[in-house]
Parts: sequence; C-alpha cells; structure tokens
Amino acid sequence: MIAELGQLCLCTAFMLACLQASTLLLHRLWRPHALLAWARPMAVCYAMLLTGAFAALLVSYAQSDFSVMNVLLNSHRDKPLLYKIVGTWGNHEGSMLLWAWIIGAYGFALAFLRTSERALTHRALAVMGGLNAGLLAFILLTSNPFLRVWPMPAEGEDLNPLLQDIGLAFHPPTLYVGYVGFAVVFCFAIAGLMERRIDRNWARTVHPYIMLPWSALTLGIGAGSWWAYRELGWGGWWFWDPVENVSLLPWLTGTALLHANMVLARRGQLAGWVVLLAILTFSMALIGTFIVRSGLITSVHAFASDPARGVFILGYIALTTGGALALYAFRPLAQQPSSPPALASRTGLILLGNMLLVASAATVLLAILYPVFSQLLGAPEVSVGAPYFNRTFLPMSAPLLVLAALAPLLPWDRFSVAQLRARLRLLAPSLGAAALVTLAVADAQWALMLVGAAFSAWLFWGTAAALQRAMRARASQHGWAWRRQLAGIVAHAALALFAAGIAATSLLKETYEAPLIAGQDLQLGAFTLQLVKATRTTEANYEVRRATFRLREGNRTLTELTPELRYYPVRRMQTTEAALHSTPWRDLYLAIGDAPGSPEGDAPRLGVRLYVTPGQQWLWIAFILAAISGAVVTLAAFAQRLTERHA
Amino acid sequence: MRSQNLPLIAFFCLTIGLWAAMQYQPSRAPAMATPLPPMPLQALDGETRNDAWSPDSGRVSIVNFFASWCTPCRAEHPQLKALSARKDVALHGIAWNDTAPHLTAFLEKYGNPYDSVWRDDTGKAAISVGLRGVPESYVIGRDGKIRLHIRGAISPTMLPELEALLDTLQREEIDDATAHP
Repeated sequence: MIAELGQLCLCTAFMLACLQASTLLLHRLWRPHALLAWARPMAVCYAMLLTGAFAALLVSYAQSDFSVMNVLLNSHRDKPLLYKIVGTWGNHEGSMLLWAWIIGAYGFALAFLRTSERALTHRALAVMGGLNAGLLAFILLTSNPFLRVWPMPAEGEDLNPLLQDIGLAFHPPTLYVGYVGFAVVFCFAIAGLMERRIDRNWARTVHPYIMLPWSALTLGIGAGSWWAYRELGWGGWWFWDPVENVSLLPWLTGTALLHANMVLARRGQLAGWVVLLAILTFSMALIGTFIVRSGLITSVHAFASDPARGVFILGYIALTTGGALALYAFRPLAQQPSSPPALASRTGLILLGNMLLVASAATVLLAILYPVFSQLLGAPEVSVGAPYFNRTFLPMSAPLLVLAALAPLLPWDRFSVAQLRARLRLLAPSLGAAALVTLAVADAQWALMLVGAAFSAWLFWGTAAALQRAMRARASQHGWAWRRQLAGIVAHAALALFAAGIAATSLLKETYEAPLIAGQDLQLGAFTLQLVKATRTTEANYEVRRATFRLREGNRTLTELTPELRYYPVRRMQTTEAALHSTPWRDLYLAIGDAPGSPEGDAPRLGVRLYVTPGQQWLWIAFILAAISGAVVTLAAFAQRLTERHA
Repeated sequence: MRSQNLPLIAFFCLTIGLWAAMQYQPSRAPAMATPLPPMPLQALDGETRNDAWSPDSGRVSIVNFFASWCTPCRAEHPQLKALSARKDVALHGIAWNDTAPHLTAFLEKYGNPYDSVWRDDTGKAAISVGLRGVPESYVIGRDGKIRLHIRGAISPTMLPELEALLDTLQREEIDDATAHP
C-alpha cells in the first residue's frame, strides 16, 4: 500500500512537472501575464509530492517491506534501523529519487524566498519543471524504486557490513545537494537567455544558489575523502578514481562560476561567460551521473549498470545542455554597455583564475574520457592514473594560489605596475628560499612540495593582509556585507591551509612496520611502542583481538592506543580497527594485522604498522572552513534580501 | 564562425562521441575459451619480474584484478577469502594502479587470500586484457582457457554459482582424462 502511494505521488508529480514546463510554451504563444506565475504554486506542490514519494520509500525500508524489489535487493531484516534508512539512498533507484527530491526542495525554496526578480524567478521555475519532468520520466521508466515482487520473500539479500558506515549517511546527500543545486542557476541562465537579460540583478538573484551548492559539494567531497582516509586507512585520501574526478568537475567549474558571478554582480561584466559557466557546471554534474550510471567506466563506486539508463541519461543531457547551448548560440545577449575588462584589474585576475579552473576541469574530463575514446578510435589503450594528474593538474592549480592571494588586494578596475610589485614583494623571497633548498636536496618531489609550501605561505600572508584591510573598512559596512567579505577571506585561508596540508602529508609522512615479538618494546624511528595488554574475546558475531600499546616519543609518553583485529566467522571476513591519535600537528595511526607476505593458511604472524602524517587535520579543517564560508555567504545574501524588503 | 557557436559544436561532438562509445565498445577483453594473453608483471616485493606471466596450466585458477584503493574490492574480499579456502583452485591477484606500501597495508589489514600477488605498474597487463576497472576476475580452466569473465565485484549471491562452476571445471578435466587415456 505504501509503495503504491509512493508510485502515485511520483506519477502525479510527473504530470505536474509537465504542466509546470508547459506554462513557458503557453506564455510564449498567448502571453497571458498571470500564467507564468502559476509555476510557483506548482513548484510547491511538486516538492510536497516528492516528499511523499521519498517518505514512502523510507518507510518501506524502515519496515523491511521485502515485497518491494528495491528493498529486497538492498536491505536485510537484521540491519540496525539507522543503516536500513541510510540504505535507502545506497543504491541506484533510491539515490535517483533523492536527486529528484532535492531538486524539488530547491524549487520549494525558490518559490518561497521571493526575490525582486519575480518574472525571472517564475520563468526559472518553469524551466525547472522541464528538468523535473525528464528526471521523473527517467525514474519511472528505467529506475522505478517501487516495483513489487510476488510472492514476498522472507528475507532481504544484502547485509554487507562495509556499507554499514556512518560515512554513507551523509556523504551522498551532501554531494547531491551540491550536484543538484547547480540546476537552479542553470534554470536561471536559461530564463535569462530567454529574456535576453543577464545583468547585475540577475547575478545578485542567483548568487546564493551558487554558494549553497558549492558549499555542499565542498563538504561532500571532504566527507568522501575523510571516509577513505579513516576506512582505507593507509594515509591516502584522494585516489584519482574516475568517480572522485567526476565530483571534482562541477566543483572546479562551480568555483569559476562563483567568482565570475561576483564580477557580474559588482561590475556588470562577463555576462556571457557567467551564463556559459552556469550551463557548463550543471552539465558537468549530469555528465558525471552519466559516466557513473551508464557502465561506460567501471570504478570504485560501482552501481548496477544498465545500457538503457545510459542512453536515457545521454538523451537527457542532449536535450538540456544541447538546448541551453543552442539558446546561448542563437539568442545572444544584448550588447553590453561596459567595456571589456582590463587584464590588470581584479576582474582580469579573476578571469585568469577562471581560465585556469576551467582548464583544470578540462584536464580531468580528458583523463576520464580518454580511455573510452581511445578504445573507440582503435588507438592503443592507456591507463590514466595519478602520474598524469601530478604532471598536469598540480602545475595548473599552483598559480591559482598566487591569484587567490593577489586578487583580493588589488582594485577592481585597474592597477598599476607599482601596486602589483608591492604585493609581489613577499613572494620572491619565499620562492627563492624554496629554490635554494631544492637545489640543495635535488629531489623533484621535494621541489614540488616546497614550491607548494611557499605558495601556501604566501597565500596566508595575502589573506592576512586582506583581513587587515577588511578590519579597517569594517565600520563603514553593513553587518552582513562585512560577514560576507570575511567569509571570502576565510575561504582563501582555507585554500592556503589545504595547500599546506597537501605539502605536509605527501612530503613528511612516515611509515614504520615491524613484527610483534612478545615481551619486547618496539623501536619505530623516534617512537617506542610498549605492549601493555593483549586480550582475545568473542563478541556477538565476531572474535576480536585487542592490543593496548603505550606510545612514547623519546622519554615522553604520548598516549595509549588500542588497535583491534576482528574476525567475522560467518562472512570469513577480517577487518582491523586502527587506533588514531590526532593532534593539530600530526596524526598517529596504529594498526595491527597479518605481517606482510604470509598467504592464507600458513599461521600468520602479527605485525604492527605506524603512520605519522603531519598536517592531516589541516585538510579536514580546510574543507570545513570552506564549506562554512560558503554557507555564510548564502545566509548573508538571504538576510540582505529580507532587510532590503523590510526597509 | 561566431564564438557563441563553439560550445554548442563542441558539446555536439562530445555527445555523438559518448553515444558512439556506448553503442560500439570493441571489447579488448580476450574471448571466452581462449587463453589469457601473457602479461608483464612485477611481484609484490618489486624484485621479481615476469615479462610474460600467465597462470599455471593444469590447475583451475582465478585471476583477480584489484586495487587497494578500490571500495568494491574490499566488499569482494570475503568472497575471495571463501574461494581461497578451496585448495584445488589457485587464486592470483593482480593489483592495478597501486603502490607496494598501500598493497602491503591492504593485505595486512584484510588478510591475504591470494596464492600469488602481482603488480601491474606499467598498466600494460590491464591494457592487454582490456581492463575496464577494478575489480575484474577471470576464471580459467585446467586447459588454461577462460571460462568466465566477471566485471565488477564477486557478490555473496554469486558465490554458490561460482563454486558450482569451479566444481564442474575440476570434473571436466577428469572426464577428459578418462576419455583420452
């Protein structure tokens, strides 16, 4: 019954979305003025219907209703309730429904938080109706989560302990809030192109809808990396896996978009470029979905792939992106009154940064698609891995740090050589010092990392200088304007911290391993490990061996760590629960496990493994700071709008 | 040509390309009932190299492409361990796009189900079998020919079927032996 209700909600929502989209066409034919405004209540109803559908699926999971195919394949009666619920979006059908629900929620927000741009917002909502109609058609025709099974099986099929991780609870939803959120600015871009009006007001209207998805995407990528670090455990947190790269694409173009949109909002420049970026960013999210769900590339995040889905998504992309780009090509914006931006201006530097970001995105896209196309063209296949990105992506992103430090310190319209020289003064010594040390050690990796550290130090200096200026100008600013400016500075500081973290973790990481010998202290570099206690107990469904170590550095006792080794006899699965000691400066990561090189069968010896990674926490702090600053800008925009309306 | 048209044209080409790639995927994967091509591989310790590795003939074997950074590979691991309990089947692991320290840590953490572990540092082995991603597995009969190709992780539900196939492959050889004494 509940599944049928969900199905009914979906079908009704589909029809409503079609109606919502058709207001555009009807408006074009007869131009009745009130018609477009209907998109607003329709968007609200659509959001409610999808909430109903998603709730129906959640309830089916919570109740373990195995007569629903989707629940049968992805759940199990013995799962804890939390993981039953989380499992709702751990599969293709459920995650697509989450997509649709999130986009509905954005529509709801758009309909409720009115802007001064009524007509534009209504038009954007109508365009969103078109996007929703296509999405729901996809769900209903190829990925319906409410299909029934008869007779109802007694037990579900999946009880994989690996997927029962709290990381799964919030990594996909935050990521989707980011991906899907870029649909809003896409709709506004189309609406603006239809009205032939992309101007400063347009930019102000859409700005929070760029910042919120950007912020969520940053957090989502960060959560994924944190999960990989914690669960995979050997110090890696980014593996250049195709699906990780796919999430990076809209982040890169979205970062370019938010900066270009700032220029548009303040200076009225770059309108065409902003529209193109808005289209591109959402298209990247769609192309990412296509790549992951079509089975064109198998990867870490394998979803059950189905060619029919791939063709459908590709058709969807062709209609949406193709349509938007056709509109962009054949319905050019009115000629802009302002002159093109000078390179020697903040606008020019932002544009330069945009070029670098888009070029980096192109590099990543090329890496994702190259294996596919080279196979198609009959060329010898190559595997594209980390070395490619180290050689292309890193050198391209390093200059971004310079720009990020420089741009906030220089005036918007035009700066002189003397001004630039004054700002650059500090970079020269730090780069020079890095070069000298590099010559001394003559190691390519050190060189790269030192240059990274120098750039990062410089960006810190730049943000400190920007902060000082902002403090001085504080009195003259409106409360929210000041917070917004501060958020920008914090985001750049986060970038500096991030760069420093990358330099530290990849350069200074130390790994020690040694077999465990009873009654002996282990000497690992500067660290001494003393076995305090070892226990062996049997828990509900696994056996566990625990070892408590006292960790000393020199004569100073740092901490006691208790790593575990678990064995699940039913699934014949061995996992280690490592012990982690985090300080702001470094992470100490201790694990016990089979000593390397002993295959199954020979009695495995126990070994200890210690990783010392300086700067690991900086990365997570950087992700969080960036996400918070994005959220603050979003809030500032909404708050400012409210105060303006009341004024 | 106006510059506004360029994105549309570029996108058009990309879409056609993606569509073509979906329609026409000349799989480089070796065909069923042919042997795996010999692959240039490196042993885990990095010292031993074998420029034309192939699984020993005369034994039923499974060649499993994996990587320490790959999440489905971790999900697949218990199934591999279940398979490694069979002494009549040789289980070979080929790590793709990986490093020795990460691999050692991975095998230490989850246990080592493989009879032999190899590294494909150059990516040439992956190319020679048309690897699409990890994990991917080949089941090879006693005659050295491929009997099953699995793209993606071996799931717990696949396990009984796979075990049945391995049993058949074991018996097949015995049948052959009795037919041609």
